[in-house]
Amino acid sequence: MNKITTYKEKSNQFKSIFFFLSFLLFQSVGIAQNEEATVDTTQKVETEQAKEAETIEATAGGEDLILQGEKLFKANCKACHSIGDNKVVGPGLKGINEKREKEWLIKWITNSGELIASGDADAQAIFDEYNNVPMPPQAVSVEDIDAILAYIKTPPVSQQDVATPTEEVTVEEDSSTMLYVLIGLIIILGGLLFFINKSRVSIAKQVAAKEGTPFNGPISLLDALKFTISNNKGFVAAVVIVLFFGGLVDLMDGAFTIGVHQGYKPEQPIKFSHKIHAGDDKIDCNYCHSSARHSKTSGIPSLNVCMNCHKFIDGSHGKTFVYNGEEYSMEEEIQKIYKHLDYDPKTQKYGDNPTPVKWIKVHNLPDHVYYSHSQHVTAGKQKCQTCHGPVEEMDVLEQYSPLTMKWCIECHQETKVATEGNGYYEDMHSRMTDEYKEKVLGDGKLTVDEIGGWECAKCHY
Amino acid sequence: MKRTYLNTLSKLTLIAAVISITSCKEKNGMAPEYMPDMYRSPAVEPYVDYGELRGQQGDESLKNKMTAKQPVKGTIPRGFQPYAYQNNFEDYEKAGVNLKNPISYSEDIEKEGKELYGMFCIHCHGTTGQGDGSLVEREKFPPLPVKFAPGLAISEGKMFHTITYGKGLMGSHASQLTQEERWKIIHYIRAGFMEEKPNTTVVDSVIVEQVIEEVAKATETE
Repeated sequence: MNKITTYKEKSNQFKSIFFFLSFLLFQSVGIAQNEEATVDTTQKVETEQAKEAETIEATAGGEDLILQGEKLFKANCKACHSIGDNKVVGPGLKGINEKREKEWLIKWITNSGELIASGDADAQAIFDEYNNVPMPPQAVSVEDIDAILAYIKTPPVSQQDVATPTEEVTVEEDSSTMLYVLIGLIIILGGLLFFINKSRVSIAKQVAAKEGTPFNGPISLLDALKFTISNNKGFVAAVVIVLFFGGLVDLMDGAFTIGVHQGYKPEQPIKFSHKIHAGDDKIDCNYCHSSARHSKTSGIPSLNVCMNCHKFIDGSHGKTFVYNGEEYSMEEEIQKIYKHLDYDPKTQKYGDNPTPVKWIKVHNLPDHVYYSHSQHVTAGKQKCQTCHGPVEEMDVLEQYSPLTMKWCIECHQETKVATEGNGYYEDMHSRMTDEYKEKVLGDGKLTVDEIGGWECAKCHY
Repeated sequence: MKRTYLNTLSKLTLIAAVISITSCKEKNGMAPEYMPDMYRSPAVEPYVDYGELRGQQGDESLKNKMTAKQPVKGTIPRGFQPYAYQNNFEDYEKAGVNLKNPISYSEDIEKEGKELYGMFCIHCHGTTGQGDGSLVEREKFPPLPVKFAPGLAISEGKMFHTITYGKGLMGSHASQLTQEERWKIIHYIRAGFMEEKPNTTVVDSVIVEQVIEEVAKATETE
């Protein structure tokens, strides 16, 4: 048996081992891809629910009176008062039954102005404390006041210690762990290859020793590779050609993604969820991005806009929300607003050391393009979602559209101009020559590109 | 022999290609940039860090500066009319008596007002004006003390003052709505919900004179 036949046998061994290894690799890659696609598992995390909402029947009136008081309080008082000791618009009412006489309270509630005018010192003190803003007279009967006071005195337990509700939490598994698994697999398989090579050499040496011929085949893995290459030049050339053209195609594909940040999804310093605000609460986009109607930029709202609601909504109910697959406390995120504003929610006073929030800008157009929001929102009457996608479903905002020039001009070609009831267009079209009119309006619709939406200088100047 | 190697090696190449393609995509990151000279503006742009402007990258002293600035002291934006009343209860009453809607009513104006109401008011005051907005229904906000209904004793001046400065739990909406837009919303509320006979006469000049007078008074006292 000469050397070459030995190698043939070996190569058969090789083949089966290589095949096994490559099969393993293929499988693992397949698994990795599959799992990346399906790891979005929804898990229902049930936060503990403090369901000890037994109402205490403490006062003589009992539960009914308290419940009636609760209803009345929510309808008439809650807009300005809390049952705790925190200030809302007026003072918190905890302990008001001990602090004031009932007669005084009835007088104050039904007509605070009269009580102040009568020269009552306590009434005057409160009036002064709250910047001379009187409490409007309330249309409630003495019985109603009784019920409200009973409610303030002994509110149901569930409201003293606020219950944490069940929240549905989506936990997304990190796909980067799959990458580590893959790298680990490659290392393990590489090691395996190394040991297989070692045993191949030792077997070949033993075979050579048995036959009495010196072993001078390749020993190291590298030598084995060189041996293979030198014996398979045609194949190597084919591989090089395939790799070259494959690489070229990859490079071309890659070149088209340069500067196209579609899907850019940075986490913001305050975990603001558009899903909660625009989706669940149904707040119009324009409420916060109010400059989109008037200006080039849609505007990142300044914190005073946040405070229009979050002065009252402080997240003290302890609920959580999901942002980028992770759970966050509403209270902690809202506290960040207060911190940036140097605002003290207890005294409702603003300090003199506010700091800006460094929001991360998601949509960045290059400087050589001009884009105006008002032109699209006010004049063009486009919905925000046309370009920004279903923002009301995004907790982390991401760039939905590619914002490439192709994307712009395609939209300009398809979008019809709203000419109905616009005297300008009626006048303009009546003055057109028949030939031009046929060219522009012949297809029964007027699109943006036909009124200059494809002019270079409209966007580049 | 050649064929067997060909098989295995071609498989390996394929695997390598698959790995290289799957592992390249960076999560949440921005795409690569190439020669970004013309991406960045050399002039100050809204919401762009001063340290990110063209030609200034790397200048640490310019980084982390807020780009949104307040107007220079003593200046007012073009087309802006200073509001003569202060944020206190006394001026609330004064504005209620003195201020009249300077925009004459028309159905188009009411339509515009409705659109604006839908953007800025509806989530609390609701589609019916009775305080049944989505935020109240979701119990994020308590029921509103004000329900827009015929006979509601709040003058249009008071409404304007309230939108400008806020009242009770309602915050100031002056930064989101121009004065003109505020008046349009008031037209819609009064005609749509309060069924009031709208004012169709223009009182613009009176208001301007009055405002100038009030501003002059206010600056005198300062």
